[in-house]
Amino acid sequence: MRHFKFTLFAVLLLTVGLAGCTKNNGNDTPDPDPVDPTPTQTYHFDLWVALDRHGGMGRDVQTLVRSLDNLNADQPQITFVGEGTEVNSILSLETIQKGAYYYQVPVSGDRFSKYLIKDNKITVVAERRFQANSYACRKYTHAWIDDNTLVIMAASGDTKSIIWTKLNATDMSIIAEGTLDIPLPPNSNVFTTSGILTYRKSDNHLFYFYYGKGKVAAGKNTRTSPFYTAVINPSTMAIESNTPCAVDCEMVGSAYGELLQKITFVANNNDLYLACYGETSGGEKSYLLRMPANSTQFDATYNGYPNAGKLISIEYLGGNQIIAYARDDSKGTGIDAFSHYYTVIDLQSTVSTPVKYNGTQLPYSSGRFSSRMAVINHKAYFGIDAEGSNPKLYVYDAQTGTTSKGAEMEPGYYFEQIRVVDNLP
Amino acid sequence: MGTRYFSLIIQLFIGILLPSWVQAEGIVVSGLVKDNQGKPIPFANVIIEQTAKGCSTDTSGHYTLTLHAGTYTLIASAVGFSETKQTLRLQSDTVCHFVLAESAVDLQSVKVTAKTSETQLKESAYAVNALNIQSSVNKLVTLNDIVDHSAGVKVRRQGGVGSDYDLSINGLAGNSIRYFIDGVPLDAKGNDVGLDNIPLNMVERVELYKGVVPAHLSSDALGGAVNIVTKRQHSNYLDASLGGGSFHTWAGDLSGQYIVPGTSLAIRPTFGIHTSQNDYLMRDVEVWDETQDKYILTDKRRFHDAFRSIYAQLETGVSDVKWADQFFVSGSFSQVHKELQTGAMQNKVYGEAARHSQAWNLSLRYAKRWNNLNTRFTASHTWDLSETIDTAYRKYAWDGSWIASSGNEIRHKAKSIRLYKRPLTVISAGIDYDFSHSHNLALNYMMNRQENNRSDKIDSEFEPTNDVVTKHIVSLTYSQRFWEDRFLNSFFVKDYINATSIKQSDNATITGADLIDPEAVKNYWGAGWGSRFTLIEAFSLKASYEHSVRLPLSRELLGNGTTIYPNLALQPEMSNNYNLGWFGTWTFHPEHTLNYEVNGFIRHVQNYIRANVSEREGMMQYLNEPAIDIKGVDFDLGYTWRQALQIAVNGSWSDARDLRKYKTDGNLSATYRNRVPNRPWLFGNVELSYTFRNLSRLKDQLRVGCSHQWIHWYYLNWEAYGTVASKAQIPTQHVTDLDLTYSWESGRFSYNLSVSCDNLFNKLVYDNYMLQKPGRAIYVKFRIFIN
Repeated sequence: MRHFKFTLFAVLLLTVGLAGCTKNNGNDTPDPDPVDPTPTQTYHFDLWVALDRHGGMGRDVQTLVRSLDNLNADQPQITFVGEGTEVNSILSLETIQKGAYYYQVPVSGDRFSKYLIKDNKITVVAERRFQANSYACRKYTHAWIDDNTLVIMAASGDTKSIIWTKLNATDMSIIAEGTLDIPLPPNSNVFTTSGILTYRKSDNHLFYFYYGKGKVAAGKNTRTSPFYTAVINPSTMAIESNTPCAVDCEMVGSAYGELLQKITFVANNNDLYLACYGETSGGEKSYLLRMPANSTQFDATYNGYPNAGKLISIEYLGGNQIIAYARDDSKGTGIDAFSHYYTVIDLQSTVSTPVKYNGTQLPYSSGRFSSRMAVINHKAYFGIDAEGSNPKLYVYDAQTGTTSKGAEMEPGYYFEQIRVVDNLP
Repeated sequence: MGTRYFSLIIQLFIGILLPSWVQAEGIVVSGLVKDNQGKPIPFANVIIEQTAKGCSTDTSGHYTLTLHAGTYTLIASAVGFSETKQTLRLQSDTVCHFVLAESAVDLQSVKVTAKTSETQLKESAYAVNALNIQSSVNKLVTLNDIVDHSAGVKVRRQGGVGSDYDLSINGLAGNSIRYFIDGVPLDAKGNDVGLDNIPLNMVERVELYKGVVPAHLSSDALGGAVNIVTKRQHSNYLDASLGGGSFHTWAGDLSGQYIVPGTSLAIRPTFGIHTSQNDYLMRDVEVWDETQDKYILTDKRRFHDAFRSIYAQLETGVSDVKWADQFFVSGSFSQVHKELQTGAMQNKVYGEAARHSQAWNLSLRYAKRWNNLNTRFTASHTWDLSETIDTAYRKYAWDGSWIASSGNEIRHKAKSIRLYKRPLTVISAGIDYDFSHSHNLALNYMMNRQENNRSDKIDSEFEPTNDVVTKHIVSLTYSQRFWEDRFLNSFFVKDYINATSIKQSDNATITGADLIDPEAVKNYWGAGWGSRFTLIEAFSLKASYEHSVRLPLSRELLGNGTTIYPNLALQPEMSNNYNLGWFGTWTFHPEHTLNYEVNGFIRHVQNYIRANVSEREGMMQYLNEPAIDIKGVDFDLGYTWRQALQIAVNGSWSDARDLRKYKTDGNLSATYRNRVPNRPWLFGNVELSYTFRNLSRLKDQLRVGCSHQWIHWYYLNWEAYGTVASKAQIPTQHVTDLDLTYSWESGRFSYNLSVSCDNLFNKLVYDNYMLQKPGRAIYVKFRIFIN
């Protein structure tokens, strides 16, 4: 019996093998399950544009989003006529994006919401009504502790305290909420609106950067303290340390967190970087501060951006490279001034090299309060709204150090955001 | 009895205190009415046009009338003779004879007709609608409701009674339209006094100027003007009404006039109170459902939208005395309490925020004709205070529930009671001179100065500021009349001077505070012309043109403290307005009358000021659109049968396009030639009424009216961009109203009882994106008029 079974098994195996050989040998018959030599792309780009003028900082403009598989040059000019999604009545430009989803405190100011933009439609994936702490639309900072835990933080309405809420990003349920145990800095009446929050996995700490404001003369509140670093235990949200920065400067954004532009990152070696600026007699001067991996304080001897002008937004390219969107103040400081350019900064040498294409420096771009660049696979995709020209995209490859031309948009639009968004299965 | 004592006391008071200068002047007009043969016509009628005043000739054909100084048109008529008119300027006793030609028509009856003020106004050289509100005053409506049914006019409301509204005339909206009451800016009555809370009883008619605004209004209006003309009766009267209805709405109005016997001294009290809870049903609003752990859509009533408005005015003065044709002083008080239910969109719900305002006004007006020279002067000062209370650290939902919030309701900031003191001074003066019956020259001047003094009672971080906006407008007008007034021309130039002193600097990226010269004086010029030619009564043509300048209002520049952000960098609108229209009245049968009017218009606007809703902020802000081209047409068609059946149809179409090809940065504008968003561009009204007369008693009337309003849907944002499915729309509106009014008289008393139903079919309607208006509502109003 055992012999019979073995013989049957062998015959079957041989039959299958022969059948397979026969098929393969039938020259014209294609393989029914060919192996795709190129992996399926798992992401797409969401291109956010404004119609009327650059947005951000509460400027009211018509905003549209169009999803594109690529931003390559070999495609017609990108249009939004009859294309894309009108987002104004639902979404704000100031948004958190991770994976396939967008996260916001919407205009109603009564909830946390999670959205999906797909097929030119905005879908509410999950919503959660505020409980103890509430936030204003577009005025908060955030950090991801892990892929599913989002922390939102901002000054309370009277800006006398800093409130926080920890959310489960799957269903937006509130895990915990409270108020940071930090005092108002000396000589200050209020906290800055949002401050900047970030998370470093290597030492499992949240870092909250903030400063105090007060009236030094009649008029607006201005910064009256150095900026502080509050080191927070992400489990308990307890303050482990709270120290002023030795460099007299402040974060380049402090009212809207990183909802519009990115200004902090943790490098592969776990050094934490923060873009800042200070007032000098010659105008605004930027600093790129570094907090070494084993420290919770900034290294006062390091400045990754000794150049003139102001850093607006930064993106980490891997290794020692970042790409920055910076402003040449001699060309104008207005939101719509054509004074902004892209530059690659070597974090180690602190050398900043403006991005060139075909050996020529790229034209200046207008627009301040947004991050018209995105990084994926060590490539930076960035947009330029140049004077007298339609908007154009370029691609900087950090591995080769080369710049290539990307897609173009029809005239009349303004770059607002480029987001890399995961495709849903 | 009480009335007699009151009258006696007033007479005693007046008799002791008033000098003889208030005694009425009498000018005697007398003459003969004769036929072609020179024979006197006994019992002929001689009446003053547009008044009930007149007399009959005696057996010798002689008549005598006593009038005040002024200009009158006398009409003489008699059975079997053609009617004859003569216009007189009375300065002293005058003799005026009439010769009537025999009429070949064998008349079965004599019908006396006269042109109403509305018809006369329509026959001016300007594109104008004159709305007689006499049939509407019996219903529980506001001036906004009446104006909204006029051709070319659209009123957009944010909600129910007392909510913010925006009126557009022939495509231009918002503050392109200026509001006046008897030629004085309506703001002078208080910033929160508007078409919603002016007592209807005090209003005679409403004049709607489309596009070109006559120089005597001394205005920087760009798109048109609304002039509310109050009653000017020459007799004592008391007009009182009380009404109520759905959504806890109540309204009481009273106006009257007492002329001290033997004098020209008139005392005119006016009082109005309007109140509503506005607790109408909101459909499909989101509320959090704990059991389902998600937001669900449900219907809930508004719960924090109460509105109460009080308006009181006392005017006294004299008419037709030696030193003045009109001299009146008045004091008024207005108070508005308004709860705020939502921001600029209904997903932002408030439960405690409120705005209160009150204003005191003193004003004076004087007019006098000196032979051929006519003079007028008005001066007005208003003490206006409003406060916006935003002290609740709460987030409300549509079910009235709330959660604790980290900031206040409107701005999510510290608790605030924001005070706005906006004192307003308006001085207006004008002289015009008649070189002859055909030629007139007029010079007008207006100064309008408003402060915007901001402070906060409890927010210590708020920096008080005081902004000042001053406007001076001077105009010169030359008018002509030819061919028995069948051909009219009017030419004018205007100079606008705008002086601003801006102190506020907070929220600079939004308000543009960092883009402006805080102390600026700018000068602008405008000019225009208007003509009307009447071929026959059934066909008149009119055309007008104006290069106009519209200076931003303080509300546009400086916001309203709650839902409107300031835009300090807002530029004046400038426009070239062209109007061409024809109109006429055709009585093709003694019982059938048809009237029509068609107007076409073109507006080329630079720096068009547009109200922009920021969905992100739940706020509004006025923005400039650099170049807008608007063209359109509106029509008005009316049919009357036996003065009983009235059918009126009107419709309006306009097309506003962005004509700026290149932006200031040299790049092509994406919105070039796109339709300007968020404005209704096609709408119409149909009204039908029938009046049953002589019912149970003589002079009893029952009027049944029905109206239907239709507005085509429109996009909230620029139409070309984004997939259609993703675009926000303001949907089509169909609103049908029904009303019944029963009127009866008893001696000097007239009574009216009306029942009206608005939005009969309970349609869900919006004027603004995501701001629902009330559903079906029923109102009852009782009015008594004592002549």
